[in-house]
Amino acid sequence: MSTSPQHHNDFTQNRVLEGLKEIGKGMSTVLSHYFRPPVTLEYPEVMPDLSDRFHGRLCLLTKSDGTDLCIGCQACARVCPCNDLIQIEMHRDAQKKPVIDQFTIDLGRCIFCGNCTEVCPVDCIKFLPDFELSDFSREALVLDKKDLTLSGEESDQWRLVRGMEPLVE
Amino acid sequence: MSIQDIPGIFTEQGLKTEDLVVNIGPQHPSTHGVLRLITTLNGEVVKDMVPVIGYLHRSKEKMAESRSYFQYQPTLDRVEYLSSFFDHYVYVSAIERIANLKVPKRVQYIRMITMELNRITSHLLWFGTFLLDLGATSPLFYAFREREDIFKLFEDVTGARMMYNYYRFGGVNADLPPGWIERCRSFIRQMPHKIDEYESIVTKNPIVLDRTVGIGRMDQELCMKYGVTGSSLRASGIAQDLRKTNPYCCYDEIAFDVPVGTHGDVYDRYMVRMAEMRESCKIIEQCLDRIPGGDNQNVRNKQAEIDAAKAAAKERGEDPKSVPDLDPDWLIQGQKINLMTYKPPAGEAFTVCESPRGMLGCHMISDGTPKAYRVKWRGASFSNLSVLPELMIGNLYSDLMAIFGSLDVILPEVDR
Amino acid sequence: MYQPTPDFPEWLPRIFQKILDLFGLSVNWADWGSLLTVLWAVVVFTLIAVVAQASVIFMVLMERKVLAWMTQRKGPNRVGPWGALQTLADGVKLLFKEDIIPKGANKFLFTIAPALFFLPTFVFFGLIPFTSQLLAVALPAGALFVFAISSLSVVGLVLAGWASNNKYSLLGGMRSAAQAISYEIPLVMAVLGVVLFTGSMNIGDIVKAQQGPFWNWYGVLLTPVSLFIFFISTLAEVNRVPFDLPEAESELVSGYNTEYTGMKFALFFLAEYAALFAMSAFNVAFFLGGYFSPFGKFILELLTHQEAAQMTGPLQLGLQVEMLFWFMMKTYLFIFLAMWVRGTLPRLKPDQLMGFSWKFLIPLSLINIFVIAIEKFMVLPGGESVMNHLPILQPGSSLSSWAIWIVIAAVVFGGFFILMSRLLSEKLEARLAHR
Repeated sequence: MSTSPQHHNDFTQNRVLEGLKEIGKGMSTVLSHYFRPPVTLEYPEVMPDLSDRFHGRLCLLTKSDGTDLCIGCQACARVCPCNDLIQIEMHRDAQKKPVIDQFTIDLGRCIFCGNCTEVCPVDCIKFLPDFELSDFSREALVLDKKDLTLSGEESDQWRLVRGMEPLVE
Repeated sequence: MSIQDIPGIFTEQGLKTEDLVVNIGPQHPSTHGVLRLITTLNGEVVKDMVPVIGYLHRSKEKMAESRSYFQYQPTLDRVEYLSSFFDHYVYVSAIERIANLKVPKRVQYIRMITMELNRITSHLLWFGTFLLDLGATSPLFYAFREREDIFKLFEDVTGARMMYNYYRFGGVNADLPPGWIERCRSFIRQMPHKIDEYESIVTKNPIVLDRTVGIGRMDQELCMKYGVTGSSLRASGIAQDLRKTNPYCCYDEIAFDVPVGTHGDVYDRYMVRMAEMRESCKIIEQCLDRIPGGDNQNVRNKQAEIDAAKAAAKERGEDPKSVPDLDPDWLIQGQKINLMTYKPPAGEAFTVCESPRGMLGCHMISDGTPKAYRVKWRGASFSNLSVLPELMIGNLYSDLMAIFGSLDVILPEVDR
Repeated sequence: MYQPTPDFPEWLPRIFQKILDLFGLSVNWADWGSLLTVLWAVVVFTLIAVVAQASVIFMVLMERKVLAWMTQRKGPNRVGPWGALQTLADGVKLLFKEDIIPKGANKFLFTIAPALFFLPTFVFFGLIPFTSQLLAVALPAGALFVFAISSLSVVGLVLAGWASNNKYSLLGGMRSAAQAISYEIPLVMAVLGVVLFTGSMNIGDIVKAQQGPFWNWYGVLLTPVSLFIFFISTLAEVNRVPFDLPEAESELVSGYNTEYTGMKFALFFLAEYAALFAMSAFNVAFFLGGYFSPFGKFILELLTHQEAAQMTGPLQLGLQVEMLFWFMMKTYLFIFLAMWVRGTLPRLKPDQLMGFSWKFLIPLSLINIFVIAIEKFMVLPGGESVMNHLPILQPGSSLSSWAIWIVIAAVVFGGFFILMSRLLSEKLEARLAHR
C-alpha cells in the first residue's frame, strides 16, 4: 500500500530566507538567458544545414548521360513497410533491356524510412535534402516517374557531393 | 429553524456531499499521450481512478506478422518515439540471438553511444514536460535547445532527426561520418554544465520541493507488485539496472554508477533521472574514447592502406591474402545479409534493454520463414502506468500532475 | 510638507472661462466647482482608458517577447515590425471566432461574467495618479476604494465558473475565489503601513509624500517588506504564475475560462493584463514614489534651473510628460518583474497557496504594521518623536537617526525571521531525510 503523502503546506517549516535565495538563483539563471543570442533559425529566410544523408524527398538517379538507371527489380517495393506505396510497371524491349513504364510513389503515405534506398542494387532510388513537400491536394503528392527522375547532371552532382564517382556506362 | 431542520442536507453521516466524476482526457495537455482517467473526486481528494487506455493502439505486434523482418523495422521507431534506438536494439538483438549473428565491437560501441544519447534526449524531454506540468515554462525550452544539438548529431549519422531506422541485423546501416566523434565529444563536454543550470532553477526551489517531497511515495513492495522498472524502481531504493545486472552491448567494459534513491517519492524520481543524465554523459565520453577504430577517417585511411598494400602485393606477384584484412572489430557489418529475403532459423528469443522508461523487452518467435511468427513487446510504460491509481487514491487531485509526470509514461508504449 | 491634491488643476476653469468669454458669458466658478470635477474626471478618464488599453495591448506582446528572450528564442516578429501588430492580429482573429455558449449554460450570467470581471479594473484607471495633474478622481479614501472594488472582480470569476455548466470551470472558479479572498488581506495590510506614514488615504497625497530622491520612497528604505508583500499579493490577485491555478493550463484546461471563445475570452485575457497594469501602477504609486524621478530633481528642473512648482505653460507640460515617463518606466519595471517570475517559477498547489497567505504573509504583514507603528509614534527620551529623526524628514540628518531606525527594523524583522526559522522549522537537509 502506498503511504499517504505528508502535505507540506506548512510554510513555517521552510527556512524562509533560504527559499527566497534559491528562487533568486533560479531567477538569475533565467535572466542570464536573456542576454544570450537566440537560437531561432528564421526559416524561410535561413535554410537549415542538412546532412548528406537527410531523409528528404525521394528521387531516381540516372546515368551521367541521362538514361534510366532503374532495372525494375521491385526490390524497393518489396521492402517498403507501407503496402503498395511504390508501384512499378516495366517491360523488356527487343534487346531484353528493362524499360520502366510507370514508377509512382505516394509521398503522402511514405514514412521516409530509407528501406528502399538501401536495397536498391543499382543505387538508383535515393533521398534528396528537400523537405518542403507540402501541396494543396493528396493527388499532387503522388509522384510519378517524370517527377522523380533527376537529369544526368543532377545525378552526377548528387554523387559528387557524397564522394561517389560519376556513372558512365 | 436551524440548519439541521432543512431537509436533504444532513444525512446520518453528516453534511451530504456528492462525489464528482471528472473525466481527465483523452485530450488533455498533460497526459503524455492519449490517456483517459475516470476520476471520482470528493472535493480535492481522489476516491477512485480508472485509467482507460487503447486510444493509441496501432497493432504494432500484429504488423510484424505480415511484414518481413526488414520491412517491419521502420515501424519500430514509432513503438515508442522517444526511445527509438532502444526499440530497434531489442528487436535486432533478438534476431541476432536466434540466428547467432556476429556483431563487431565497433557496432556495439556505436549502438551504446546512440542509445545513451537517446536516453539523454528522452530524459530531457521528460524534464521539460514534467516542469511544464508543474507550471514552469522556461525549462522546457532549455531542454529542447539541447535536444536540437543531439538531433543534429543523429541527423548526421542516420539521416533522420527522430525516426532513425539505423540498426541492422549484425551491424548498423552506415558508419559514423568523419569528424562526428569530435563533435559529439564537444557536445558532451558542455552537457553537465547545462544540467547544472537546469538544476539551479529546479532542485532547491521551495515551490518544487513542496510539490514533490513526500508526494507519491512508492515503497519497494509496491514496485515489485506492479512490475515497475527503470528510474521509478531505482528511486525506491532497488538498484536494478539491466546495464549492470544483465550487461548487453559492451556495458561491462564501461565504468559508470547507477543512481539510486531512498524514499521513492516524486522528488527522488526527479533526482534519479537528473543523475542518470550525468551518468550517460560519462558513458558516452568513455565510449568515444574507446571505440575500436576511432574516427571514421581513421578507418578509411586504414582501409585505403590495406587496399594499396594488397594492390602492391598483387603487382609483385605475391598472394594478396597475405596482407591482413581490416581488423574485424572495426567493421560495421558482421556478415553479409540479404535484407530482402532474410530468414533467421526457427527459434525463440527474449531480449531486454534498459530504456529510459524501464525494462523494454522483445519476445520474438521465428519459424524459419521471412516473416516473424510472433513479436511481443514488453513495454515499460505499461507496468509503470498501472501503479498510478494506487498512488493517487486517497491523495489530493492536484498532486496528479506531479505524480503522473514523475512516472515518465509514454502512451504509445502502453498501447502499441 | 505637501499640499492636498485638488480635484482639478487650476488651469481648467481658466480655459473654460476663455471659451465662455467668446460667447460673452461669465460664471462664478466657485459655485460650479463640482461640475468641473466631474468634467475633469470624465476627460482624464477617457484619456487614461485609451492609453491604458494601448498599454495592455503592448503588454500582451511584451509578455510574449520577454518570455521568448528569456528562453533564447525570438518572440513574434512576423506581423508588423518586431511583431508590433501581433496583438492586433490576435484580437481580430478572436473577433472572427464563433461565439459558442454551451448548452445548459445560464446565458445571461455567461455573457455578463467577463464584463463583471473587467469592470473593476476599468474603474482603477481613474484612481491612478499618472502625473501630478493627470489624476481622474482624487478620492479622499482612494486606497480603500481600490481594494473594495477589486473584490468585485472575484464575483465575475465565480460567475464565469458557475455559468459555464462545466465541472472544470466550476473547480477553477471556486479556487480562484478562495485565492482572491486569501490574498486581499495581505494586500490591504501592506498598504495600511503606507497610509499610516502619510496620514491620508488619498492616493495623490501618498505619492506627493514621497517627494525626493529614491531613498525617500516608501518601498526602498522605509518598508521594503511592505513592497514585497504587496508585490506577491498582486501576483495572486491577478492570477499570475506562481498563483495561476484558476487558469492552470495543464491541470484544468484553462479553468474558469474553458468554455469561453472569441471576444469574451479576449475580454478575460485583456482584463487580466489590465489588472496587472493597474496593480503595478498602484505598486509604484504606493511604494516607489509614483511619478517622481529617482534623482530627486526632475531632469527638466536640472536643465532649466527652475523649481517644479514655479513652472508654467509649455515647461509645465514638459514636466508633466517627464512625470509620466518616470511613472510608466517604474510600472513597466514591475510588469517585467512579473513576467520574469512567470518564466521561472512553477505553480503553487491550492493548499500551498492558502498556507502561504494565511500562515506566512498575514503574520508577516501584521508584524510589519507593528514595526511601522513603532517607527511613526515612538518617542525618544526627552519627548521628541522618532519621526523627527528619520532621515527622510531631515535632509542631512545625523548618523544616530539612521542608527535608531535600522536598529528598530533589524530587531523586529530579524526576530521574526529567526523565530520562524528556528522554532518551528527543520533544516532543508533534515526535512529531506525524514520524509
